[in-house]
Amino acid sequence: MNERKDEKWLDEQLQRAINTTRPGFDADAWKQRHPEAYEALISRKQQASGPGTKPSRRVRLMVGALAVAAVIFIGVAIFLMQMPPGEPQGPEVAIAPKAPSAARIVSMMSLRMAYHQGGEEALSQQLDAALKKLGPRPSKLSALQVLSDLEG
Amino acid sequence: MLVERALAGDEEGFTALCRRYYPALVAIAHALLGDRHLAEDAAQQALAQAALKLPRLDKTEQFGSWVAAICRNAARDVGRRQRRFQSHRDIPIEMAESARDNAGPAVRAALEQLEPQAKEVIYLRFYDGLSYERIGAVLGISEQAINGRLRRAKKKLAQHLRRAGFGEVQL
Repeated sequence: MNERKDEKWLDEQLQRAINTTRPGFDADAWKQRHPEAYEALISRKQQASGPGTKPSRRVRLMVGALAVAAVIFIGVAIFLMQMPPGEPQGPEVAIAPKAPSAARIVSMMSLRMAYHQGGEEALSQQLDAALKKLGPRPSKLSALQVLSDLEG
Repeated sequence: MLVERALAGDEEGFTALCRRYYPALVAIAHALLGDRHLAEDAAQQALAQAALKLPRLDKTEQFGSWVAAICRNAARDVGRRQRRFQSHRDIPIEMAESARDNAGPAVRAALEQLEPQAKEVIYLRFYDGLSYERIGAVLGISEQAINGRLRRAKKKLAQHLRRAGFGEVQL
């Protein structure tokens, strides 16, 4: 009791009161006592390296875009390779004969019938009626020109 | 880093992490429970919970203070289960004690009077001489803050010892 009590004395007392053998972690004992925690730990490694690992959404999108681009590129390349050299670059456009309209056909038939039945006068009247339907009649166009056109 | 390795399921990385923090966790649990064997149980339970919850840890650099918080909760659970949490002062404490030194029981009694935070820092510092770095890692505070906390705890201890008739302790 008579000894000098300072911080060093207190530290020694605390060392004696608290100090025990240093606790050591026993991994094997821990695994046996906590198998669920150990399994969870190990499963993360399997998830990280397993074959069923799904790539991220971004990677999947990039792969998809690259696949589409590759298909387009291959298609264009095949198309260009099949074209014979010297031909114009670009597809030929087939020009279909232009069919006359139904109103024009009907008007021409009625004009032919009017000429055969009533002569030039009847033709002129029928022509006026047809042009009212088809559009304005050109002033220079005579009944005879229309008739020759109809006769081919 | 060991935490990243453990997160990736590396068993050796996790074991190394456990070896690093186990003494500090036992010290924390011992400060709460007053029993070495129960403290080791609590520390192992804390590490088991850490293995399960590790993917939820946002800041891996805070692993020490995170697992220490888990350990405090585990120790409280162990204490409740053992019905010793409130009365652990009565149980025999298997601490090394010199037969010729009669200050031991008084020092232990003084330790029991400390606030939990002060008691915890004392246990951490004197549990086989844990380094300030390791203590700082589990408490999440700087070495300066550890020093301040230790000094205040020792002053409290000195007051309790003086009241117990051990005279003045010069700090």
